[in-house]
Amino acid sequence: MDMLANFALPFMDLDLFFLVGVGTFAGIYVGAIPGLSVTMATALLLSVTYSWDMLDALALIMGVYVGGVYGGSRSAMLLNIPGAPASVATTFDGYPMSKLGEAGLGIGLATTMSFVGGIVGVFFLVFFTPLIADFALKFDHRDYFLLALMGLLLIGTLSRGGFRQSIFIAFLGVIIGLVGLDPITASPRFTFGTLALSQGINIVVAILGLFGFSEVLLQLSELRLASPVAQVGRTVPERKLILRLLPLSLRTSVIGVFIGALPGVGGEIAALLGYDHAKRTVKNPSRPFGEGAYEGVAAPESANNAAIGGALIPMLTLGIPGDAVTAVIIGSLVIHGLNPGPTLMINTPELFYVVAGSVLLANFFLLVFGFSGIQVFKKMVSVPKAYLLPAVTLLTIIGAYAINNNVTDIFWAFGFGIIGFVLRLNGIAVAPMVLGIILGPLLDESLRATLIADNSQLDVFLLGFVTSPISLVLSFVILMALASNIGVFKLFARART
Amino acid sequence: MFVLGKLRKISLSALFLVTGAFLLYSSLSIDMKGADFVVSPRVVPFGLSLIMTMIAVWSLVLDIVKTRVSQSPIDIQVIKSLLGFLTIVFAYVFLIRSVNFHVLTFFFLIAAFYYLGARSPVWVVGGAASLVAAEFLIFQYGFKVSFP
Repeated sequence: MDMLANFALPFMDLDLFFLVGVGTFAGIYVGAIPGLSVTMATALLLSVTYSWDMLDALALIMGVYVGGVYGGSRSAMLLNIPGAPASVATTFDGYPMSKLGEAGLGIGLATTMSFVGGIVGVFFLVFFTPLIADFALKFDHRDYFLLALMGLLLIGTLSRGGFRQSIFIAFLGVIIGLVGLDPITASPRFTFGTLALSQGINIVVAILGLFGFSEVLLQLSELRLASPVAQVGRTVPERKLILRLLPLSLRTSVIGVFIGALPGVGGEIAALLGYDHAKRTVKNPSRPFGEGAYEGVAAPESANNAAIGGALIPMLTLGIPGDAVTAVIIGSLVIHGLNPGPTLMINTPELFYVVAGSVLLANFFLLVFGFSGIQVFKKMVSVPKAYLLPAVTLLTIIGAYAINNNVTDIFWAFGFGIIGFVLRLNGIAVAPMVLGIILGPLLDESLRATLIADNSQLDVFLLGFVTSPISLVLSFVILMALASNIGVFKLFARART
Repeated sequence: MFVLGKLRKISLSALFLVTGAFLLYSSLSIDMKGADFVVSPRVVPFGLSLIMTMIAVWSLVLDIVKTRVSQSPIDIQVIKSLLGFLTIVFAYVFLIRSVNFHVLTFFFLIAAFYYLGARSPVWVVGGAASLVAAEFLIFQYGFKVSFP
């Protein structure tokens, strides 16, 4: 009974209700502005809320967390600039939807499917926490390596300008992700003796350049400054469309929960894997993927919001952060005198249920603020390009600078912008490069950690893929995906007919 | 003005080859810190840049041998428009450290709006002022970003 009372507390207590609402509202707008991250917002909130009651502080932070992850989809769809790495996959079909005059429907779909993902995340958080925490802890380095490899297979999905060029671009992204000091030996890689590069290249800077600045240059090169996209279309998706997308949304939400629960693997990988799942399983999408398919928006948006519930599982049960935001939340718990770890659930069980209740409430607020705010956001697409393009450029500049208060990051963003422009001008997608930057560090560290554990013996290394059940399943999934990529199934199908 | 589409493809593949070869060369200078090659910080960058170089060589050969000669238009107006806008943007960024950030941003926006064809003084000045105000309120006041 106490559990239910604690779970319902954010709905009953006026203070908590209000704080979750304010947090969600603020989070949506923070998430929508490139350069402002949810991690940054929650870290700032620590300094504001350290003297507050623990539950009040957590209610506000949870609202910002849920709203922020969802908010990133706004700029991804309207400007082709993901507000956060978790929204990268939303640009693939969300931005084409806007260009087709369906910006309103795109945002409506993202809102609905984020809500579905959020609810699934809370469901797993409340009912399957011990099971998922146990499963997540069984993942070893080899499994993380396989997960990164599975993510890299998305190259096949994302490539538009030839598979060869996409592999090249993705590998270049992996190498860009490795720039800086090696986390295992502290050996500098591709730093060329400069101190600035020893910290690595920030993923957000790369995203701002590759998506934002390159888009500005591309639109300038098309010389269509006087023809803004005036159409926005309907905003509320039809019930029939929601029902059609619901099974896909539920499947990608489950993927999101499990990926989110893995320590160090966040919503961005969940969203990418969700998108890949949609592309592989949906045989008759509303439009071809990459050209404004509704499924291409529904899948990543469900997955990244569901990943929130997943990320909270290891944080609340084991004191292990699932992503950067939960790492900050752990800091908040410590500031309030709590001891994050397995004893947290024993000593303060009410905390778990209030957090879960807050996330659920935040998802309802997301639905309300998400739909009511569409009118404000959709005006962005009807702003004449003579005003919009300088504004986007300014956003790219300030966003890149704001990450580390460093002017050099602006030049990095421009550099990535020009690379992105050249690639896109030649019909090559930039998404594989972002994929490489996201997955590169995970791939490198987990591969080498596995090899170190196997004493650099190749036979032991290979044997490990079949002796561990999780590795075996992941290897099988990768082999199947590879087979479908190289057309083995198509050959079989042709032979049978 | 026209350039050969084939030449454009070959140039891109050549650029890929230079990038791959440069990364391959750079990866060889990564300090292995006495570790075995297979677990060293060099293994992944070396392996990937090797594959990248091979892909680039393959692409270059295919482009030289297989790509048909075609014409690809280049509009001088497009190049002028891009270079002009880039000049304004780079001038803004280079001056960021030496001029008051908010004042500079205001004038950058006016210049960029005007360059891209906006002519209404009310919208140009009002738009620039609104964006500077939003930047101040959200980034500097709200998120404590200290601009140069």
